[in-house]
Amino acid sequence: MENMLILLFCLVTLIGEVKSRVSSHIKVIVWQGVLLFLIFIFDSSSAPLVSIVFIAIEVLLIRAIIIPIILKRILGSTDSHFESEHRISSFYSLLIMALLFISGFFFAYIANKTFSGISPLQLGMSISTILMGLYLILIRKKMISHIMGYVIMENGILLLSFSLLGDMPLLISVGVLIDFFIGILLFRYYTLKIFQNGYDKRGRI
Amino acid sequence: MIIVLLLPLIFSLLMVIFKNIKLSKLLTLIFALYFFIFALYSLFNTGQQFTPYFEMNALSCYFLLIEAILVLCVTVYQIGYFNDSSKMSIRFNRYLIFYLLFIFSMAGFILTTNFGLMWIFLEASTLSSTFLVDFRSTKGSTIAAWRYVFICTIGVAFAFIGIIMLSKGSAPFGGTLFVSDLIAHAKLINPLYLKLAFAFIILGMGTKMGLAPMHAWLPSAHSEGPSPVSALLSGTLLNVALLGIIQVYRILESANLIIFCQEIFLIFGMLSLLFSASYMLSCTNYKKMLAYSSIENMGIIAIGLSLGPLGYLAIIIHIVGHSCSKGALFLTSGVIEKMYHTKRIEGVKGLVAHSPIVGIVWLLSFLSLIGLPPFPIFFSELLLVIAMIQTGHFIVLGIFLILITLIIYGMGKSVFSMSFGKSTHSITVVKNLRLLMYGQIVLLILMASLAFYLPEPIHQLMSNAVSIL
Repeated sequence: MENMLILLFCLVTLIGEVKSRVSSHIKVIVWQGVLLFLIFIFDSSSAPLVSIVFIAIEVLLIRAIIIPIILKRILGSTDSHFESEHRISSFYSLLIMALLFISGFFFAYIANKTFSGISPLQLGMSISTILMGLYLILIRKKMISHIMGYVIMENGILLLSFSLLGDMPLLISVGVLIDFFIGILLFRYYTLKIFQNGYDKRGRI
Repeated sequence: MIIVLLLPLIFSLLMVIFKNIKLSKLLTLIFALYFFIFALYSLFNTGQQFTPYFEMNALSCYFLLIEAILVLCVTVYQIGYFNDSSKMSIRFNRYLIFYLLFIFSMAGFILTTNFGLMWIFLEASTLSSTFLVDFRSTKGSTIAAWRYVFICTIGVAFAFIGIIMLSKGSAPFGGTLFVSDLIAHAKLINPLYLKLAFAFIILGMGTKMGLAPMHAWLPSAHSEGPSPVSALLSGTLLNVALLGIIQVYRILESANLIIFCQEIFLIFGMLSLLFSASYMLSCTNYKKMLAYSSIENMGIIAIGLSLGPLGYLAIIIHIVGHSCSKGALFLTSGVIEKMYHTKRIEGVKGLVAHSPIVGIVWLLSFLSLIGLPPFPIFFSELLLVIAMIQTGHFIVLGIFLILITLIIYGMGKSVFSMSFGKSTHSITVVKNLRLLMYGQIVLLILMASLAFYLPEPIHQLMSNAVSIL
């Protein structure tokens, strides 16, 4: 079941790439948040209550609810409903994303041989998701798509930290979460500022 | 130590509450003075500790001292620099709040002993300085701020992956993220984790440090931000990211993985010189020129780290030389911008004739940056050349010398054309010129005097910092 969730986590990013509506891309982030939470619950059933509560706040509340709401508001204000401005064609882009997804299995295979005490599939898929997020930042032109690429990358990093560490000290987890959240708010601020001042009316940079 | 970390937070809170620009200026000045005195005090009292998370050793004291000197100069400078913006008092008040938070995050990063906290402070430094870059709120500054925050945040996310690797690697002895524990048990860590950690951290913190090819944010942020901010970004923020990389390097050094790191340092260092040289030959904007020079100097420092003990001594000298001379150049560039109302090199002529003090300081700061004796960069670059010869890096030496020559030629051409000749543009008389020049003059005197007289505590501090490396 856990492996299924991990595969689904990575697959939703790939499915999102098929669609050109930005709102569909936001749904990818919602799904990733929910799946991350389920993966954590399956992965560390013996985790202390504090960790479960913290992860619930971090993943469900912030990553699956608040950040998508912020992104929807940006979408509404910048009128960038379609991502039609890929730097490369949609077909090749999908092909590259599929290759990145498959590379996750390759990383999992290497991780299984090299490291001990980790979940290889989780590690492989997290690296694959990080690469997909980075790729989306590179090929898309709209600022909102850049932000979504960054959030996908951050979700991949969180999965990586689950796979390698379980949970981190609370102090550091809180700091990391605050920084991530403020970062997203800053991105929102600048995207809206650039759009509203007419520096780029198509919401791209 | 706790006071130096708490004071900027308390002061910024007071600024938020009172929103009084005079009070804000006063509080910033008090903090800058206290910070400087604390750094001087630390010179004689390394080894202070506040909880296991914060500690002062020779290396952190050295970086803190450089930061404190620059913060003091910049704080005095910006009182004169922003004097004509009384109508923008709310924005200036907000600027000073973020200014203090920025200094706090950098000081926190320098003093912390834990990689997790280091990451938090590094990200906090990006978030707090974004508003400083965008102080003018023009099209250029807003886009530069967006680029800065976005690229650095992605870079810092990579650094976080590196920290995760470190934590996983240290699982056999409790999964610690404390630098001293990681160094002490470095040989117990799976080398693959260490190598991955180093690769991700140099990619992440290297972005913040301005190493090519991850430097895309730096030229626009440095050139679009107000000059005091550019001086701080170049003179202290890049050092802070460098310190993070050095801390990871120390762990790999203890695990006998030094060759792996040195190869990576050399590649990034040479790439930085190459990118910088290619821009310098055709530069049109003097603030961007200074920004590319920062990339060059970070490249030189990376090369120094790849050369072993003599290289370490060179970079310790180079860090102070670069921070002070770049600080002086950026601060002077703010005065030039006020005089000529342009950042274009061709729009500035006859600086020495129009304002001898500005022209001479501009020229001397440039000479200090390119490494003319008696300034520190002369000694650091000389040591680097000797280190390259000693370690048999003859090809690297050849390329290094060619690239440095090109950079000096490119910069020199621009600096001299700005300093001499006859201006066709109207020139504004700058208010508070003396106040705007004190900082640079102090920095220049400081650098020149170090060659003739190195006080024993500073000599000791530098030796200890090198030995920590």
